[in-house]
Amino acid sequence: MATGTVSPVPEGGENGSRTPPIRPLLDLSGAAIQGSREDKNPSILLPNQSEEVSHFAVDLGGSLIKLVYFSRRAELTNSVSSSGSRALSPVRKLDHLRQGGFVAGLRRYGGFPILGGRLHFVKFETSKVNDCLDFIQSKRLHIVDAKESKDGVIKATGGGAFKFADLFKERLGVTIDKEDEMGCLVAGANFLLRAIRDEAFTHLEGEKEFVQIDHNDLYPYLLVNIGSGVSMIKVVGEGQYERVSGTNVGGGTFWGLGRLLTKCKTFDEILEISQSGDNSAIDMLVGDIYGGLDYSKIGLSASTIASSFGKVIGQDKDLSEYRREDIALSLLRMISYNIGQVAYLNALRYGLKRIFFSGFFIRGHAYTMDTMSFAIRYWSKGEAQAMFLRHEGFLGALGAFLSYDKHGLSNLTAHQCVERFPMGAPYARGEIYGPPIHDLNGKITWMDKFVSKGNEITAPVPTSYNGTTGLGGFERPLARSCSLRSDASAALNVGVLHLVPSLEPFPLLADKQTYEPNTVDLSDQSEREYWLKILSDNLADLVEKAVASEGGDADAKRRGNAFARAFKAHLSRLREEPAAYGKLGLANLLEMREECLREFQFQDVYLAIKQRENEASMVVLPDLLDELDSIEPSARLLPLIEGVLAANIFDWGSRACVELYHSGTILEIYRMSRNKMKRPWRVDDFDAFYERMQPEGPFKPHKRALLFVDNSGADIVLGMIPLARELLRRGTEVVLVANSLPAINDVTALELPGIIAAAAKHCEILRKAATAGGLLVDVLNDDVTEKDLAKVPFLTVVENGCGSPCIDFRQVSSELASLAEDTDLIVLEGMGRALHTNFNAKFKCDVLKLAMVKNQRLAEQIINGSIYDCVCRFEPKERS
Amino acid sequence: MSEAGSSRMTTWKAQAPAALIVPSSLGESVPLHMTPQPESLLSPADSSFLKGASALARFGLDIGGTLCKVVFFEPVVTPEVQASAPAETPKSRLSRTSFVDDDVETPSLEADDASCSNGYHENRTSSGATTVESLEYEGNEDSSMFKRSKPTPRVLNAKADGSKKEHSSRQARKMWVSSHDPVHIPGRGTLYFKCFETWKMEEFLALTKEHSLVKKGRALGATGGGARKFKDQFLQIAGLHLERADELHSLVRGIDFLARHAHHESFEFPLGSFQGGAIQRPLKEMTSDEEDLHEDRRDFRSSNSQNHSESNDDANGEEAQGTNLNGSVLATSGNGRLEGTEALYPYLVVNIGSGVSILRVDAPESFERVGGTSLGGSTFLGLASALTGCTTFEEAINLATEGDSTQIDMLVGDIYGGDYTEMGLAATTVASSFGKLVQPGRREAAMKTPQHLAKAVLLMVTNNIGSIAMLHARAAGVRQIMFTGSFLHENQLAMRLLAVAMEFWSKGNIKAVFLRHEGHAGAMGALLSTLDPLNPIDNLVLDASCSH
Repeated sequence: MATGTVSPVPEGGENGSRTPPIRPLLDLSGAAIQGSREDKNPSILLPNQSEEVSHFAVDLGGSLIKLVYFSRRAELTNSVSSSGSRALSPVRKLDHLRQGGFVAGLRRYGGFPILGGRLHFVKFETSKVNDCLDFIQSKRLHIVDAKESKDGVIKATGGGAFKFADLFKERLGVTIDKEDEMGCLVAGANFLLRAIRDEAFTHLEGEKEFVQIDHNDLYPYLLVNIGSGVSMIKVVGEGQYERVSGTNVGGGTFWGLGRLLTKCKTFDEILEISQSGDNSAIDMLVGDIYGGLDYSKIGLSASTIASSFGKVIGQDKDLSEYRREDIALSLLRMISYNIGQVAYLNALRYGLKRIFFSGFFIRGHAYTMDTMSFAIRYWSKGEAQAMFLRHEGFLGALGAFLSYDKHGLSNLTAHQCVERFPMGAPYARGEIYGPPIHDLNGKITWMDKFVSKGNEITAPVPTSYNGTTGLGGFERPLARSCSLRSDASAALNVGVLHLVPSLEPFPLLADKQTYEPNTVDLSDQSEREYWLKILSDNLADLVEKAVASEGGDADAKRRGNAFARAFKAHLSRLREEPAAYGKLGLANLLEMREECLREFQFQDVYLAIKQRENEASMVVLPDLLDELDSIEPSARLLPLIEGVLAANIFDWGSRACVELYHSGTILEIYRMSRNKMKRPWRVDDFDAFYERMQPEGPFKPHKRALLFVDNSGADIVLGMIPLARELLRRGTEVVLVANSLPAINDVTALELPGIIAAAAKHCEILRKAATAGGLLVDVLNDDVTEKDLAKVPFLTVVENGCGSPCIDFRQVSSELASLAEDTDLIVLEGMGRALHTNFNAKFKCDVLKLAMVKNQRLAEQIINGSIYDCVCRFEPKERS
Repeated sequence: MSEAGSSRMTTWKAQAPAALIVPSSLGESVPLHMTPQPESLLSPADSSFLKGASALARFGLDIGGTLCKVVFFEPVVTPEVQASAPAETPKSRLSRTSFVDDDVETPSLEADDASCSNGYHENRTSSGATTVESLEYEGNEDSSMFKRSKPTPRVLNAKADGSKKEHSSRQARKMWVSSHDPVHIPGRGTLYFKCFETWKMEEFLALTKEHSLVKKGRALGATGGGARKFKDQFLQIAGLHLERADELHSLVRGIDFLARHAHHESFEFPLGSFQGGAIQRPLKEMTSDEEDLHEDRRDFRSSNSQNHSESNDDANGEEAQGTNLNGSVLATSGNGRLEGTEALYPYLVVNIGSGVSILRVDAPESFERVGGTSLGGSTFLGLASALTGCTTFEEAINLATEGDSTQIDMLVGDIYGGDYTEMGLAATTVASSFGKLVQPGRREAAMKTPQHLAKAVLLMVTNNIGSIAMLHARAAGVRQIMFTGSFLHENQLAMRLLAVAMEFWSKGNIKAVFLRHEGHAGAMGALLSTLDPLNPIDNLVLDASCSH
């Protein structure tokens, strides 16, 4: 651990102080788990730390001030949800975990010295340093709630750290502690490459591709930071680096010389006008020298630049007679190419294959990145790879932030970080438009005023692509898909980084490195368009439901409108730049919608619907259980699986199903669906599963099954609970894995205990197992003795750490991860978890994937079938 | 084959003695002025065009993107040579009157060679470094002759100061943009070095045609991109056939030839002459230094030629040169450092023309283009002219020499308040060229100081070339970098900067070497490539060359 000073929370003891910070801060807006925990043990969240963690660090550069600040989501403490009563008490859950013997899991909780919270990235122009100070003041970032009354010390880096020291002291009363610039850059880069999954990407010929960096194989690399000048740093390990080179032709040159030559007012303006430039009017090309021919002998094509600005001489033209656009492009290309070339030479010298570019010179500008990539690829003959960073300009500030002692952040890994892109600065690439947002009201106001502006900034009116010549002189840069759009819109957003120490990769994944949750590749344009359109078509209906779920009053309407606008803004952003938020998958899209709802404080849009359906289904359950019990044990498996598949038809996330709802009650639909269940299904491994489950067969019953449940209502009550019951009957311990946060009508971990309690009323097996598992502490019957329970397999509930209809097994709750050890069966149910994601995922144990396909396109794509086809995919553990 | 021909060049030392060895079979040379004079064809102005060239002259052209470099060899025609080359009547179409004043007439080998050198250098010394030399004055005559001259130079910035206007107004039409010392190869002939701007090609061709400079049917050696681009025009307008030679091959061959045959052709700045630390530091203190340098250079030349005349029968002349080196700022590379076991090859050639080509030379005829950059001489001139309104290279260089870029460039000291010692960067190192102009309000001030802007451009281009050259040198594992190309013509600032940079960053392990005829190596190589060993006149050059 980085800090080494934080002693683990002591275990044991019967009082509440034992309760460790299980989930310091997942983004659980209004979730009771968090609220109650925070209330109960605020000090445990940050043992001995809260005073020592400062709230921001700055990188005071020549043209931009980069600010990284930390928030602990203070609003949560004020907004303990009224739904808290529904919550499973954490104490009780821990009890049942303890009873289950999961001491290993507990130990894990005690060991986190990491402060859960959020890292925000914002930037200001250095000339507007007062805006930055206002922002800090307004956010009260400089207020150190220290008991020690010494002055706040703020870590800073960059050339201005010295220059602005007095100003910071005067305005904020803080002392600046200057950190070495190179050290900060390297620390920032190392952190980003380790902690953020979609941080690094390549950019060749207009195509972005995110690169997954295996942290064990990160070093050595060359870090090229392009600020005013350019520094090239060889990084060979954590904290081990050397500035090996640099060049004086950098961002300052582009901006300074560009101003002189083009009279542009801003850096971005030069970039913008360069879009319509043609550098062949300015640069002397090989073709100009060789009469339009290539100098093929040494591999120089006619469009290679022989001499930058070489055509400006020998022509009796005043500077003003040249097109500014052409000059801007020529300058951009000269500088980008040169940086790429010098970087390559350094990489060559030190034998480095990876080159990461950072600094705000790049600004996600496609032409710049293409030119650099081209230079590297050309000179290295494809040996070295140029990569760019989404947080390009924030490395220094982040490094400075990390230099605070005892933050514990250095050890964070990718699975503990969740990046979100709420409205506000993250949406506008870190730039602040308007006053800082403090609350929901502020956010809605911001939406009204600035989203349109933010859209303008990030997505200018498309300008025509006029055939800019050459890139490093060889090929013209390609606009993606030949769509007409300005490169400025291609810039990537910088999200808020949620630090969630309790997230872990799921241990049973067969191969964590190659695991890809998404089944459908949204980098395909038509695929992307399809899903973006579906989301946008469903939006009106969703808003209506959302508003109704919050009482339908004026406030709810206002929030509903704001949500709609925000989500539309996201969608249009993604249409322009699919990689804006990192690699785009369907799971991310669906999660973004849920996050966006939460952002506007819609707690659970489908709450009422879910409750209604649960109740309706519960009425049928006793009959269903009786029916099942009347069947021979060996013949029961098929109707059970049929039942799961049939019940999976209820899905408010599917448009086709929503239409079904309009034309019938859920029981009618269920029966209809049930009747249609005819094998063979489109994907039908039932026989193999049946073989595995045969009591007389060669296999022992499973020890522990993790059932990843999907929807509320019939799906859980009539589908999964009977299946769980059957497994319990066979002596298998069952863990129902449900969402931590609501997503559409998916059942959540908070709701499950109630549902199980209701079901248990009708079924002894469930009642005993749930009691044994600690779910029914409150309704413990006298007739069930401790002794009985000892033989009964447990039925427990665990949250998966997600708030999405899909699941990404790289980031699940540590509770779930801790249960993996004895698990030998996984059941993934529903489209979101078994088809949209994880359809191709491989696990280290038996896995059963059950779903009904409720989307024609998806059916065609992945199972070559049609809508309402069923998938029963059984993948037994590979036996060596 | 001469003795030098069989020996491998191991240093950059000009191997003057090799050229002094003249096969006795040549017998007595015939003075050039004995050639008949074709008065009828001459107009007064004609004498200014390619003075020194007779119909026997051998030409090499390097037609670059910006400049066209011309090298021609005027042989010392002996009866024997004449006899064996009957097809080529030694009949100059040019006025020979000018030759009386010129020092090319070399009837006898040694004494005349020495005297001509002396004559030249005296002339040069008296005219001073900044004086426009006679050849350029001739150029001015051209402008009166040819109406296609450029219009009056524009003044970009109305607020431009007086000195700039002076620069502009001095600029007038002339064919040749710069001049270089001719190189005499005793007993064989003289090499002349000229260049003009490529955009004046038509003008050049018209003149060539008018003078029927080159005998019809005889090819001109040509290289550079223009050798292909202008091939048809040469044929159509002047009736001349261009024989194309590979550009890089010509460059390497030319460097090789010049370094061997021209006295003190290559030079370097002695180790430890700049103990300033970072690259830029010495530059700020350079003005007086630079004066010295010019002085030294002139002194060195004249004294050397003097020396040479005294010791011209010395079989290798090494000692003489060695003494000359001691204590002088400029040194030929007859330096002990490079002699003995230390091999010359491989070395790097960084040719800074319009753009920059970087070659690694492994052996006399073996080389590879390892890199290049588009930030070259024309980038300097293009940006300088766009920013300051100057029109010629000379003007731009002069402006830059007067300039101080500290108001334009962001220095390490501006960022860190002093040296960034952790990273070994001195406060005076340029961190970001033009980086100070990012600050509001600087633009207007900067536009009023064209000299500072010119300096900033020069530093940007030169520093960049230096760092790329250094990285290539390391990648190639060479210990010497030969910087050539017209960008370095009369460009002490850049040469200094490069020399210091190489020394500083390599801790003295990698040496920058320069060529006196910095821009003409390619043209020289092109000339060589057209020569036929069976032709006695051609052989005058070829024989001296060690390449075959």
